[in-house]
Amino acid sequence: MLSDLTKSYFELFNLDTTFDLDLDDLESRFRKLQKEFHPDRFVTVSEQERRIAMQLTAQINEAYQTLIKPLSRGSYMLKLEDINVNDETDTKMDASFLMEQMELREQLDELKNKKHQEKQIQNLTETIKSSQTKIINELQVCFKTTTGESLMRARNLVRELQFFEKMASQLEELDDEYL
Amino acid sequence: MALLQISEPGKSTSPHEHRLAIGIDLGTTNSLVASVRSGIADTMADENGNHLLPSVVHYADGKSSVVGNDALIAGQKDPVNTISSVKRMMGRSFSEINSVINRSSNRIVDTDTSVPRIETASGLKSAIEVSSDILKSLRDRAEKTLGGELFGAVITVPAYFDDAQRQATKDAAKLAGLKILRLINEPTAAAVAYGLDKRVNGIFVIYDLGGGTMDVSILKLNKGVFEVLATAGDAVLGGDDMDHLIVDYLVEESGEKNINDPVFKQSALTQARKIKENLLANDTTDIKLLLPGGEEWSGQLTREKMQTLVAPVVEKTLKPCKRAMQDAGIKKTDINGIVLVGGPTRMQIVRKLISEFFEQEPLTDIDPDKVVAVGAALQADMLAGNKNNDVLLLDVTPLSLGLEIMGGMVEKIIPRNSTIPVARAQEFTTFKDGQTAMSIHVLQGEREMVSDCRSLAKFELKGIPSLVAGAARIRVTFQVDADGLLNVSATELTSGIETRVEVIPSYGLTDGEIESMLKDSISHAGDDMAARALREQQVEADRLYEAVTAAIAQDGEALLSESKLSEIKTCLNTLDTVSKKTDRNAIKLAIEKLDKATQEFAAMRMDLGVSRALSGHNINEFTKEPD
Repeated sequence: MLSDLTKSYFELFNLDTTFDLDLDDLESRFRKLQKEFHPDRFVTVSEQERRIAMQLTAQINEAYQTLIKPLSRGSYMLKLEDINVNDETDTKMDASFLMEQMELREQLDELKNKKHQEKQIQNLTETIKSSQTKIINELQVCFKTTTGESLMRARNLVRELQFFEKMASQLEELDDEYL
Repeated sequence: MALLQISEPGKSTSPHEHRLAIGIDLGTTNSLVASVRSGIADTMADENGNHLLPSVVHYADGKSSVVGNDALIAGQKDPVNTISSVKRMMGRSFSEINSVINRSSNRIVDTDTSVPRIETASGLKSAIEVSSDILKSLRDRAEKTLGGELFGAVITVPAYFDDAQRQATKDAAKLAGLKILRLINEPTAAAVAYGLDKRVNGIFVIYDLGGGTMDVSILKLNKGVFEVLATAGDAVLGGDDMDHLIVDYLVEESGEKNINDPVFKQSALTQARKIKENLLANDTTDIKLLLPGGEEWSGQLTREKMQTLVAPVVEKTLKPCKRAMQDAGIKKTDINGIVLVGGPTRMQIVRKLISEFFEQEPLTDIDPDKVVAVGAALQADMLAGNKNNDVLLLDVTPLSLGLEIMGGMVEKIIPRNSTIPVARAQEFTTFKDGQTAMSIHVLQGEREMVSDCRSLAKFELKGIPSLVAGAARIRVTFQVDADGLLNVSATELTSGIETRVEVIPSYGLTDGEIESMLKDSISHAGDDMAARALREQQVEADRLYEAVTAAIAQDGEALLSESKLSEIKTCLNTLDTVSKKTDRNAIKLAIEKLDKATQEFAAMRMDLGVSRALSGHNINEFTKEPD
């Protein structure tokens, strides 16, 4: 019943629906809304106002977290176009991409079984990071048009980005073990 | 805007009324209370001029409890009935207290409720009751100092406290008759005190090593916004553990065999604390230890040796530091300053290891004992609406929250370090044909298996329509409020059946237990609980009445149909009539009715408010100001 049904995350921040966001601008809009609607501003008022403020702030937080990261922003934009990134009936991926992933995974598995691999972990992290940057740049271009073809391309890119994201977090965990 | 005060955020409805609000640092070893007086935040002293209240309570036979220094003194002779470091027992089970935490002489009893009790000469005491006695003592001090009834309190908790521990703290405050304005995290409170005082911007690390807990938070300070990027810690690591290592050393050196003698244990612990204190300023210290046989053992300890003894504790704190940096996505070179909080951070060994780890000297220009209470007082003053300013705290969840799924695995719903308040939903389905009930098990922690996480609560969703396996759709919503407390609700989407539960911690008191404790404590104080409850209900009625009246005056015509408007007006009249009378239930019902009638209106106004907040502003307002 709250505004989440009618307003998109972009509309919530009074922004155009675009992948190419100015993140500093998004951050100051986020802060401006937080400064007005955070539950801390509603301690001395009625229960109803406190509850609404909490729900709204939770929504502002969710919207911000979704838009600030390229992967979730991309998935969300596709969702707005009724495209499910993780549609289980269609899991086709580009063959050369999968090959590349397998190679990276092998490297990761090798690191798992050895100690003192900080340097190698760092190298692999760099490789993944640069792949992510490349995909994000392509997404910028893709989302400029909303033709069916470019949206399908965007979907594939977002899925690729998911792979890299997952690998990056596994690497982080690996790094964690050496703490 | 009344339903949401958009035009004047932070302002109270009656702006000239000054509300007495306090900040409390409820510590493992010492507790403090602070307030903002004449624009200055400072801690309050007792009649002897002491600001620190030792978090120790003595329960003698047939007498009322004694808190603080007197309890500390009583504890020398009567350790069994003296409870210290009770914070380490908050929200914990019998086995947890015994296996990890309990080094005291107290006798812990497992009870048929989920909350263990400590046996004392004046009866069984839960950790919540002991904490509430400490809070009462601080409340009395504040009321005497400020000379009036308190509007409310901000109480600090370790950032790494889980839901059960936070809930226990809130219950203790309730029992002490304190209205909680907010639970805030200790490092965040310290950041507020430091940041507002020094007017700094940038990335700051708050390293908080207390008596029993260790937290590290990384914050981005930017023009009054205190945004926690990540937090990590250890809820059972602190100065107490250093003391125990020193005690072990003393026991070994003195060759004493009768180590379970309560008085000896207590005196060795007191010695250990004295040694730590003495070695701050001196390179060596003399030790005098009274043995159970009556003889005295004396020896010497150098700072260097003491540091070797306690170093493992400090080294253990570095792992959370690294984890927090990783989660925050920052490098050491991004850090503008490291703020040290907590008594043990006075120790040279702590400062040395911290500066080596972060490759920069920590800031030492604040009082590490007082800073948390002062920050809490500043926040309390703001929350009470005494100050219309631009400060905002954006804190995070310290631990991931999730649900048990098939195979004893945990599905994470809200990951750690999510900005609060946060709400997330996840859909599940039935796995058997005709399944009409589903049990929901809520967990907190980072590990994949249920057995490695902490169980917060279990509840059952009943009345799911009988369908084939996989056809029902159950949406479970997790909501963490601004106090960091979790609320879980579940709805079956095809039928709309909803169950809502406050997460009653697997290790907490039930509402009924709190109610009866509250009754006991209030009847002792001679107060009338019913009268108090009625007054609270009337205040709530007045607030809602005023808010809705003002909202209708502003937007009623534009947003409401005539029939809706007249419905709301009827509800308003009813509320107005009953709130002047003394039937608490009738007031409650009238509030609920008006609340329901205005929900949609309130949501529409909120939408409007959001649009207003971001439109009509020059784009320059959104661009970053140069630092």
